Amino acid sequence: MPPRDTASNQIELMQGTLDMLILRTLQWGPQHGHGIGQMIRASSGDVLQVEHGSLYPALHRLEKKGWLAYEWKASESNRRAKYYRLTPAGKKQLTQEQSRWNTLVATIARIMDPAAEA
Amino acid sequence: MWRWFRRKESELDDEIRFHLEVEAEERMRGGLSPEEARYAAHKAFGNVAAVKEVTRGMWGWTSLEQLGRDGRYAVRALAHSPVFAITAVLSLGLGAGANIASFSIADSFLLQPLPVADPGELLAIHTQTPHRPLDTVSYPVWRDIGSRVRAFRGVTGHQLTRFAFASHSNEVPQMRFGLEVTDGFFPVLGVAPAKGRALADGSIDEVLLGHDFWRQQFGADAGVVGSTVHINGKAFTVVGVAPEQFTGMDAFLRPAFFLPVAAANRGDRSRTELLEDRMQRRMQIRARLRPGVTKEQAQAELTSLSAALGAEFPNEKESLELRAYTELELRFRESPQRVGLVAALFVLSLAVLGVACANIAGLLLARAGARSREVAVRLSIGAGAGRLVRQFLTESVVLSLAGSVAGVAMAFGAMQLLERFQLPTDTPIVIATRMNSRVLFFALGLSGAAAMLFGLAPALRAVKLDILSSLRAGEGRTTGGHGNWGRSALVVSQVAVSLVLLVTTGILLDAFRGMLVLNPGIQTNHLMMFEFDTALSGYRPERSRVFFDNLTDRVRALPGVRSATLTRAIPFRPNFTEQPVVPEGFEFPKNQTSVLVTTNSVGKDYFRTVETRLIAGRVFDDRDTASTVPVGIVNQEFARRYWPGQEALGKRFRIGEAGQWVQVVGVAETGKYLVLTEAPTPYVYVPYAQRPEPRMALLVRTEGDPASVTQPVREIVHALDANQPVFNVRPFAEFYEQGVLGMARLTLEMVGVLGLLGFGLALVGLYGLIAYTVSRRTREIGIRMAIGAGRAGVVTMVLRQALVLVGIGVVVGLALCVPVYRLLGAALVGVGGASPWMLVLVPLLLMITAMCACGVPALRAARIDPLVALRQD
Repeated sequence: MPPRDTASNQIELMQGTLDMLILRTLQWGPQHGHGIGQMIRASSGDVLQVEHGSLYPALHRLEKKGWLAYEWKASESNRRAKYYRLTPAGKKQLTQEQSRWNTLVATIARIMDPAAEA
Repeated sequence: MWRWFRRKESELDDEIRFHLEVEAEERMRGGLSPEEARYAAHKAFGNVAAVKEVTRGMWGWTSLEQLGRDGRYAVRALAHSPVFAITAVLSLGLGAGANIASFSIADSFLLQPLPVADPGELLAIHTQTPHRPLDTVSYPVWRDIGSRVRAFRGVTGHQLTRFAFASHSNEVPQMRFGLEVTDGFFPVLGVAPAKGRALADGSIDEVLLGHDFWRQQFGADAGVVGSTVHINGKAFTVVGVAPEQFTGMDAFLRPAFFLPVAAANRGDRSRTELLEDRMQRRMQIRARLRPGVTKEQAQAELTSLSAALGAEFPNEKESLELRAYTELELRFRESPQRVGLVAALFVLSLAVLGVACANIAGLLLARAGARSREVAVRLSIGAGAGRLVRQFLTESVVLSLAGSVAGVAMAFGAMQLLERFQLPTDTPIVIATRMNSRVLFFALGLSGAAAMLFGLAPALRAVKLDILSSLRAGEGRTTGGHGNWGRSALVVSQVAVSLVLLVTTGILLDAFRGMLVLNPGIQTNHLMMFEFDTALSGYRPERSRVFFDNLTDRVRALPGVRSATLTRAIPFRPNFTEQPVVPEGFEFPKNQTSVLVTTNSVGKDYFRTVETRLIAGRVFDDRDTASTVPVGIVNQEFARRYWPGQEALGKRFRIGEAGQWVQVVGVAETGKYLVLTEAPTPYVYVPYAQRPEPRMALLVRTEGDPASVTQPVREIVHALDANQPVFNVRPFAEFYEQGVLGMARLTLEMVGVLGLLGFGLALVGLYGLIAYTVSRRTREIGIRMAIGAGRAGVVTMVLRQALVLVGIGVVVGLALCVPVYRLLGAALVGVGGASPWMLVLVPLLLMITAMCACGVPALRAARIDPLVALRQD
């Protein structure tokens, strides 16, 4: 288990959503691991804290599945960094996950708050 | 693989280092000192090693790591039960070794590709005639194929011929095999000489030396290129040396040198005809397909060429039907005996392997039974069934790998033995069994399949155990009376397979032993043989006749010589010529005007010298000369077949459809001519005086040691012509023992060893299996005794149950023998009926083994105190 030093206003990521977030983030263009983590946090308004302990395994897992490709190139600070980018298969995966996510959210919302439906 | 892993690893390091550095920089911008920033970055990241570990897990390496763990675990588990491991490895080693040896024999007999470039593109072209399904092709037809068939990139022909070879003109020539080749032989085959250059197209006085011959004859001296040698008395220039791996076009016969077939133009008239006569079908043709052209397309072209040639040369007596074969097809058609031998060896060794596998399966099952508690524990603490099956299979794979290593070692020994075996002729016949990649690949595939075979069933059985009951009961009860279907089936199949194995061995042993005691039809002792070929020294027929007459006259006068004779064919040497023969008054089947019969020219005294009995009529003598009526002697089989129920004496036959009538003056006993197991074959003798040949053998019957006449005969030859080569000088008995019986004996030994091996394995396996099964029932026997069963009753019960299983196995085995016997009978000449002793003895032995196997532990079980038996866990 990664150490738990997250602030109380941060919530843990639901299982399986990290992959989707990574794919989504990479839609903006190639990025290295650190950058991906920062971008997820920034775009969630600091609510989502990505554990490094799960970020890197996730990146390698997505790479093995063929959804991500990488290349080594110079970063903004002019260091050699591993930049990940979406592959065509990854783009397809992202659309799939997105629609599944939308269904899931709608379904859960319906269960949790049946009144809102009507 | 390892490099990939290392690269991934260093990339991961770089990636994380980069992350930490960027993180630290950000914190430094936030006002921390470099030291503090680095610390904070590390802290935020968490346990670097743990993250790396988890990340590595994503690379798909875990299954490999698990495999390694399983492997280590398997080795440890096997090391814990060394008796089991050694028995299993040895059983498998013997089984695999037998198969590997068989395979490498098959490989060297049939499978080894030609030592040329892209052998798969080459096709062999032969012609079919009513008499010969597989005949070679004439030189003119080779030219026609080359110029008129578009499917081929190149067409080449070759034929093996004996030559008299001398390095200097004043040296006594030696007999050597040379490969006469057409233009383009080396380029079409894609063989580049090791030294010098290939034969030039159109040359008639160039020779290329074989590598072995170059080493033996010239001590591998590169300076020999460019020098002059003498072949059949003509000068040839050595232009090069063949590469070492190119040993000619035959698996066994290696030519000493290669020379242009067109060089025949410099020889005598009979050799010149070779280049023009369309009936002299002596060339082996190989053609290289153009890229993208199929064998079927080539065959279509050959068929239309055959038809066209038939129309262009209508006076050719036998029609031409060209056929393309792949090298493998050709070898299968050329020598069905080899295929038969290989098939027999394979049936046997597969049966041995089957028995070995059954043994190991039995052992593993027993082990699985004994390990049921371990399995139950592992299942209950959460190991998946699949995971356990994999663990068991890994153990089998480890076993099978160890077994195949042992097998390769044993096969290697067997092949060393085979390599020592040499046929006793001057001809360089080489049985080259080699360990090569094909053989090793076969070994691995085989042991892998075996591992699956004997590993999967016990593994599946083990994990199907009921966890709770086996935890509670311990090891003893899981193998109680019920649910032993697997083990019973194993006993039955073990018995069945070993029965097949033994009966097969018996049939083969009978067949080969039959060869050893068969009467060859000639007396082999006190007989000396010498061979001559006067054509090699350029004799005209008249001079040749004078030479042989003088030779035999003088040899007959030698002290210690009882008789001497000439013969064209040496019995049991495959150098016979079959000729179309027309027996007078015989009604041929439709479309046939002659029969092919082996004919032999023999001198006077032939029948007395080889001691073949004459049934009727007279032998050849001085009355039979070139100017008198042609006469001949036929054997009984000839008379029986073509003049059934009639008196053969006085009948006539033609040799060749337009030949002169030959008067039958004698009938000889039917002997064996080529192989001992052959069916009675028609045979015709004609007198040497009326049908002289340049190539004759001198047979000398002596009073005492046949070798004692060697020197006197050589001196006579030297006195007649100092340049006349003599070859294949040896006592006939030696040739017969080694060349004819040796092969049979070798096969007999191999088959016998295989059979005994299988039998030993089968008995041990059967004993182990049954003994184990009974010993598992100690507890049950204890209960039965405790509630009052008598000792005798218990033992009888156990025996009866075992005997029922063995009985079923015997019946299944006997049923299986029928197709196996058919297969062997079809593949191997001379396989007789299964003798009754085997059909009785083999099942009996198996029964006795089974009885001992269950009797001993059953008695032991019945003798112990029921209380002890009950408590036994």
